Amino acid sequence: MEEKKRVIILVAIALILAATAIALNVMDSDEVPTSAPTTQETSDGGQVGVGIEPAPVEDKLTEETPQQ
Amino acid sequence: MKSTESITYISIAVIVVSLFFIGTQLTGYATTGIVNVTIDQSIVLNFSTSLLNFGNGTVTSNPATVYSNGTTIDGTWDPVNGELVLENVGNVDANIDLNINKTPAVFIGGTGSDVQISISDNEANSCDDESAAWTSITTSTQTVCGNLSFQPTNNSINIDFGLIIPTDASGARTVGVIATGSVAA
Repeated sequence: MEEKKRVIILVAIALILAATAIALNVMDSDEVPTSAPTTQETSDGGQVGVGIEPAPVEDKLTEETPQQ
Repeated sequence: MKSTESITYISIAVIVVSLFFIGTQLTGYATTGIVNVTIDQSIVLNFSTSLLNFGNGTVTSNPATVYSNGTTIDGTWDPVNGELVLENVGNVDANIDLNINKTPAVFIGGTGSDVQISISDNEANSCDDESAAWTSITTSTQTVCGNLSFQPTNNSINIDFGLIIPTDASGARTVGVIATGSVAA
C-alpha cells in the first residue's frame, strides 16, 4: 500500500514536471517568420474627363455669293 | 508488482527528462527578454488628387492636343494646370504600374486619338526612375515608377496627361486611371 502511494506521487510529479517543461518550451518560442509576403493593392482609381464640342460649320457658300 | 515497477521507472525517466528541459530553460540570470512581432508588408495606394478635368473645347486643326501642364495646341480648351497625384500610404516601397480602363479610341473616339502620360515627383525623391517624357498609355499596365517610397515626406508622384483629340471626336468623355503596386525588391 505504501509503495502504491509512492508510485502515485512519483507519477504525479512526473506529469507536473512534463507539463511545465512543455509549457516553458512553447512559451519561449523564438521562431522568427522570415517569409516576405508580396502584397498587391489596387487603388480606387483616378479619373480624367474632357468635353469635345463639334467645330462650328462655316457657311462658305453664303460668304462667297452675297445675296442680292 | 512488475507493472508498478515499470510505472516507477517511466515516471523517473519523465522526471529526469523534464528537469533537463526545465533546467536548460531556466538556468542562468536573464537580463533581457525577446518579444517577437511580425508586421505584414502592405501597399496602399491613394489618389490624393483623383480628378483631372480638361473642360470643354473644340478642335481647330486636326488633331488638337491638350496637356495638363497648361499647353493647348490646335484647340480652344482653356489651359489646365493640374495632374493626378498618387501616394503610397502603405509601409513598404512599391513599384507602380498604371493603365486606363478604356482604349483611347473608346475614351476620346475619332480617328488617331491618343492618351499620353508624364510622371514626375510630387515630393522630391519619391520615385527612383520616373520619366517626364510623354508616353502613350492604354488598357495594358505599364510600369511608371520604381521604388515609390512609403516615407510620408517623399511618397507621392504627379501623373500629367496629354490628350490627342481628332476632329471627328465629340461629346463628354471620361476615363478611369488604375494604379497597381507591387512590393519593390
